Order: sequence, then C-alpha cells, then structure tokens
Amino acid sequence: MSTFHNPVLLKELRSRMRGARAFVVLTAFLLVLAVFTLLLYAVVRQGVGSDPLNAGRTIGKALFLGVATVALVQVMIIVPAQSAGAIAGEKERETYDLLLATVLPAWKIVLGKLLAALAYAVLLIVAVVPFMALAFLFGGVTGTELLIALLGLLATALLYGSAGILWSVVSRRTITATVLTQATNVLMLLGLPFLIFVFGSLFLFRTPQAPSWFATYPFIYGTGWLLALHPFIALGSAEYVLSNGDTRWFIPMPGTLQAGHQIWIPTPWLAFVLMALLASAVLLAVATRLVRPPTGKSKPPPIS
Amino acid sequence: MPSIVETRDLTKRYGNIVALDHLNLLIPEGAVYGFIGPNGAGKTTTMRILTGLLAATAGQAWVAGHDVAREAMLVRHLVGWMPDSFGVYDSMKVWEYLDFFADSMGVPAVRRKQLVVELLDLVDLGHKRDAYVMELSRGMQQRLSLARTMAHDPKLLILDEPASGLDPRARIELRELLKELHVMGKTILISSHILTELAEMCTHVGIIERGHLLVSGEVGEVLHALQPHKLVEIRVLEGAKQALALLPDLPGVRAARRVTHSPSPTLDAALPADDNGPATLNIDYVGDDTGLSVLFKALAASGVPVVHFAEQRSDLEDMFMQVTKGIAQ
Repeated sequence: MSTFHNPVLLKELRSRMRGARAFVVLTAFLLVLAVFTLLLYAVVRQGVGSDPLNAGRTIGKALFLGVATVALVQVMIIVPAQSAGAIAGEKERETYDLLLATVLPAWKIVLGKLLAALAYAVLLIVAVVPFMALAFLFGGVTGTELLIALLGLLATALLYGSAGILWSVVSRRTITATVLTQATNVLMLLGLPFLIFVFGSLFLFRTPQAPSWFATYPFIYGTGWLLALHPFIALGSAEYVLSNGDTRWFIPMPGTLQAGHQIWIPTPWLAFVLMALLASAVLLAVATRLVRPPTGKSKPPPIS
Repeated sequence: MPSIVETRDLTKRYGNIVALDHLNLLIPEGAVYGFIGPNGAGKTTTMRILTGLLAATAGQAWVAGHDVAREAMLVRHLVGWMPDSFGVYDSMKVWEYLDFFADSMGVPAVRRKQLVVELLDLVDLGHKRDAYVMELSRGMQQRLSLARTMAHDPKLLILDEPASGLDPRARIELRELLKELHVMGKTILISSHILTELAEMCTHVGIIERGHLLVSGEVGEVLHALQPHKLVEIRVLEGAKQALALLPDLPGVRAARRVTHSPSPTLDAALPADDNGPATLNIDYVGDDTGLSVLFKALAASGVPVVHFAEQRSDLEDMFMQVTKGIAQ
C-alpha cells in the first residue's frame, strides 16, 4: 500500500460530504459571518463619518479584523467538534476493532481522520476568503495580512483538530471527547491570559523598571513559545506587527533594548505556526501510540 | 493434520480477574472448530488475542506458525475476524463497505472492483450492492460482515457469535454459507450459544469455562471420551421387573434402570404406571451393534414385549452440560 494512499481519508471524505449535515454547517457558518460583517460595516460606517479621508482604511481594517476574529472562533468550535468524533465515533458504531484488525498502520488511521476533519476546515476557511477580500474594496489591508490570516486559521485548525483527535482516541464516546476537547480550548483561551495576568501582577508590574531577568533569552523564549499557543494573542500580535509595516520574520522584542541588550524573536505569526505544528505533532504521536500500542502492552482503559 | 492455531499457556488478566488461565489450544488446518462456553468463559478474549486486538498477559499464541504478538501485521493478513456485533457506518453503501475494508487490507485497486462483485455473489447480496449498509436486515448485515472477513482471502476465519440475533431462516443461510467456506478450505473458529447449530457444522470442538479449556478435539473423539458407553432406551409394554433382572447379566451391560420421566410423555400417559405394566428402561452399554442385537434377542426370547429399542445419541448440549456441570454454577 502506498504511503500516500489512505483508505480512511477516502472513506471519511466520501461519507462526510454525503447528506445534508456538511452543507448545513457550511451554510450556518457563512450566514453568521455574513450577518456579522453587515452589522460591523453599519457600525463602523457610522463611526467614521467625521473622518472621510481615512474612512475607507478604517472600514477595511475593521471588516478584515472582525471577519478574521469570527472565522477564528468558528474554526476553533467546528474543527474540534468534527475531530472529537473521529475515533470515538468508530467506538460508538462498534467499527473501531474492525479498523484495528486491518493492516492499516495506526498513523494512517489517525492521519486519515485528522485530514478529513482538516479538509472540511479548509472548505470553511476558503469560504471565508470572499468576506476578508471585502476589505480590499476599502483599503487598509495588505495581501500579506490576508495570507497570514489564512495561514493562522489553518494552523489553528490543525492544532485544535489534533487535540480533538487525541481526546477522541482516549474517550469511548463522542460526547465525552467533544466536552474534553472544548474544555481544553477554554482552558487554553482563558487559562493562558490568566497565568500572564497573575505572573505579571506578582513579578513584572510591581515596579516601573522591569526586573533584570526579564530581558534574557530563556525568559523571553520560554514565555514566548507558551504565548504562541494562544491563537488570539499570537495572531493579534501578528496583526499589530504587520499593521506597522514590519514584515520581517524575526523582530526585536519590545522593551529589551532599554534593559540592556536587544533580543530578537520570531514574528508572532511564525511563532504561532511553528508552535501549532510542533504541538500537533506531539498530540498526534501520542494519539497514534494509544490507537495501537507497541507489541506486548495493553491499551489503557478508555474514559467512559 | 498441521495446526493453524496454537496457544501455549495463554493467560489474560484484567486486574484481579483471570479471563484466560494457561490456555493450550490446538486447531488443525481446515477444521471448523466450535468454541463453546458460558458467558465470560474467555471465548472472545481468546479470539481477540488471536486477532491481535488484545495483548496476552502471559503465554504465547501462533497463527500459521506466526506469533500473534510479534508478527501482528502478518497475522492480520491470515485472519478474517467477525465480532459479535455488526459495526454500522452511516452513509455507506454496501459496495463501499467491502471496498473500504478490502482497501484497508491492502487489496490493490485493480482487483477490488471484481472482488466486491465476487464477495457479494458469495453471500448472495449482489442485489444490495448500492443499498446503504444501515438499511440491511440483521441477517444481511451478518452475511455482509462475513463477506468482509473474506476480503483478503484469509486462511483462518474467527467468528464470534455470528448467529446471535438472527431469525431461524437467516441462521440456516449463515450455516450453509459457513459450510461453503469450509469446502473452500477455510479454517473456521466459531463461537456460539446455539449448540445444535455448531453440532451440525463443526468437525472439532473445544469447551472453555472460566478461562480453562476443559475439553478439545474432534467431535466424535470428544463425545467418545466423555461418554465411552452407549445409552440405550428400551420401552416395554410389561415385564419391566423381569427385564431389569435379566439385563445386568447380559454381556456389555454396565447398568440398567427404570426411567421415571419418559422422553415420550404422550405414550407414557396412555399407559398405566405399574411395575408390571408399560415402562421405559435405560441401559449403559459397552459394545458394538452386533452385541446390541444379541441384547434385543435375549429380551424378546425372555417374553418381554419390547416396543422401542434405540441407542440415544449424545450431542453437544449433553457434552457441554456434562463437562461444565458444577463449575459454571
């Protein structure tokens, strides 16, 4: 069997697009986006009335950021929901053992399931492009920003889809896997900012001068890679950097020059994409190992 | 006959529960091996280990000489497995179901199209090619499942309760299908609660209880080993006392007794239950048919009016009850 031939992916794509569900979700996704874009346009249009010179730029930017944010939220909800049922659904349908009794390697099963979920995510993301492209009618947004936003959405889909797959492997039921996956999402989205807040309050913001260890590579890179796992922080920072016209792949860390020496970091979108790839690889490797454990060891009891 | 399945001290524990306890199983190639045991005896556990879905706690198992733990991928090529439940995929057609599993077993695309046709013909589901799997009847689903196990032309079929939940007609169809597969040279390991069904198709049998293999071998040999004597039922119109006095002295008769509850209550009800009246007698006899005819002649010569004289055949149910008696309780 060819390395690139994946029966699971073929089966998933064939059955996933059959029936009304896929089209209903896509239609709902686009309806939410359309209504949001229309309302946002109405609000921003009214707000820029006094500044006709920059009105187009402001509207374009607002539409782009608004659509990108809503698309990000939707991808973060829909993709894990799709992937969380991937393996757990096989267990519920009592087809999981049939799959394991085939000669398919575990990585092909996991990858087939993930790619099927991602294929649907790509469909959603491609459907977003016309909404984002509306910004070009008004100006204020570059093609680079659009491409990086799409790349960010894809990386988010990969990261959250992989988390869904892992929970799907350890859970016996789809509902359990979905709850665990969404709980992970919430924990990452709210937990990371809370940790930053606590850490900053305790150690950074107590004195006007940053502590000496702040401007060191271990601290900057340690916290930076952690923050890069948060799509909103990472992609928000990326948009801030790109809005200022900085399209470099490595940028100076703000505040480090004053502390003594300049520290260079990967631009936020690059850090996010790299972290998403790395974290996904780890999650998928664990999932693969759990699907078919190495010879001689039993599977861990599933969570019911 | 070379064995296709062999296990040596196969043991499986789930915490403190011992599901399999030093199981030593030997299944000859080409056999239809009936695996019998009460619920929780360890049948499914054994089957899942042989399929490579479960790792044994201790011991070893081989399929066609290949270690199921160390050569799992190779063993999967040799085994077709049918679990006790039929997994249903939503939105999947019958031909897609077979095509997917054939593909997953490494059957090349150029072969699959024809293979699907052949498999559907084999299980008589050609007319359901484009139907959705979930819309098939239970019997059809089981036949489709059997076709799936054949997709990669395995040497060994492991079927876990294939007849469960089927109506009588579907059971008969399945049984005929299994006989056909046996003729095709497949070795079949089959578990079932319906022992009469197994009796009709099995060449070999194994009885397992609480993880222990109590008895295993060719059906006739096992029956003979468990019951070396023949059970002969005699019905007389009168003279039961006379017959009971005569029978123990005849050659080959180990014991003779009067049966209080006849297997033919209609006949007995018509006859008065008197010592000197009609009665049913059972004798344990060791010998051949010639000896039995001597027995019959002796009874007739003594003037006892015999209306029924027949050897009672033991079946799998008797064997199962005899072997598992006491342990299963």
